[in-house]
Amino acid sequence: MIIKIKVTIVAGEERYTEVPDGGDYESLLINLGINPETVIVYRDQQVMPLDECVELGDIKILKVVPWG
Amino acid sequence: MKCDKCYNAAIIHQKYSGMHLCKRHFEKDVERKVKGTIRKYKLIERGDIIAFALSGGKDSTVVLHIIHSLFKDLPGIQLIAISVDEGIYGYTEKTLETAKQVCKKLNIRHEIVSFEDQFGLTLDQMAILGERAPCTYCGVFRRVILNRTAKALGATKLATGHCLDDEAQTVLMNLLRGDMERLIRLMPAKKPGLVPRIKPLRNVPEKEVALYALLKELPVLFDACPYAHLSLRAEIRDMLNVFEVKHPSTKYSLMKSFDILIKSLKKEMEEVGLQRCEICGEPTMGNMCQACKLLKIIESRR
Repeated sequence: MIIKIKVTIVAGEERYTEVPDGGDYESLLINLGINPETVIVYRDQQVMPLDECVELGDIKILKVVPWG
Repeated sequence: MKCDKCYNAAIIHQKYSGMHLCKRHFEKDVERKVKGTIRKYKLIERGDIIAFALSGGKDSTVVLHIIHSLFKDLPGIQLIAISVDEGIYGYTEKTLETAKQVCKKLNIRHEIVSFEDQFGLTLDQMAILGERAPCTYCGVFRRVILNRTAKALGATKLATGHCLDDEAQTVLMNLLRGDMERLIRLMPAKKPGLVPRIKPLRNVPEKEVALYALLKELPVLFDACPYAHLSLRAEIRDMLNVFEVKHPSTKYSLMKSFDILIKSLKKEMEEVGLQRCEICGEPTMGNMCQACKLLKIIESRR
């Protein structure tokens, strides 16, 4: 099953992406073309380990390392 | 996911170590790495007056915060902060404001020195007049200002916020350029006229420095310098981050190789002695320092 996730990139735009059920935050970032080394991911204001399974919620991505 | 050291929820998975850590154990891990670096390289000694190069960014704020928390109650160690006003429109105002907040919060003496006062030009003006990348001017002139100010303040050490990523980028950049002279200069060394530089965050990945700053609610700015994307360093940074995701621990491995390599390199290469620049008197390898050479070219184009 595929779940559709809305993510907010802090100081940036809102985007939608899809991850397979059981997919983790690292694969979500890679789907969005974001290098996991450069951001911190929050779900419902909690910092998430990137190997945690993606769940629906208020997902925010904070860019902390310059990129590109 | 649970923390590998307790039953709390993990906030980070360190792919390079395989560990899941909660907030408390992550913060302890960062502080442990800093303490380990200080001990291994004997970075801080009793009686030190440590000047911090404080930009207002996450790295310099975190290093000042950690060293302050470790040494604030120890008599005989004094901390001072130096911020450089490079004169980057729309950027420097914000970074300096953050640096002021940090020093006020920690009750630390804060000196602000500007490019314009020291060299008669802002970095923005140098970027227009000069033909080199802005980061070249910034790096060279910042180094001169920091050393000059630290010396004037009687500092015995100059602490910078260079983290694992910065160091790994520098090593790779110098290897790719074949610049062994600069590679050797990465190791702390006592040289006449130069305040010894210390880099307590050398072993902490940049992303973890940022996470530490956020968790500790430190006043930091995450804005990138508007000139940063123009540098070779930016290309190396992106390349290393791609490698790190695919091959965790790449940055640590690079630094490990450097630590081994540097011992042989030091034996192999004769270290060049320093003399005084004939114009400004700062230490240099030739007759004229890099800052004076660059200034001369910029002045001729005014």
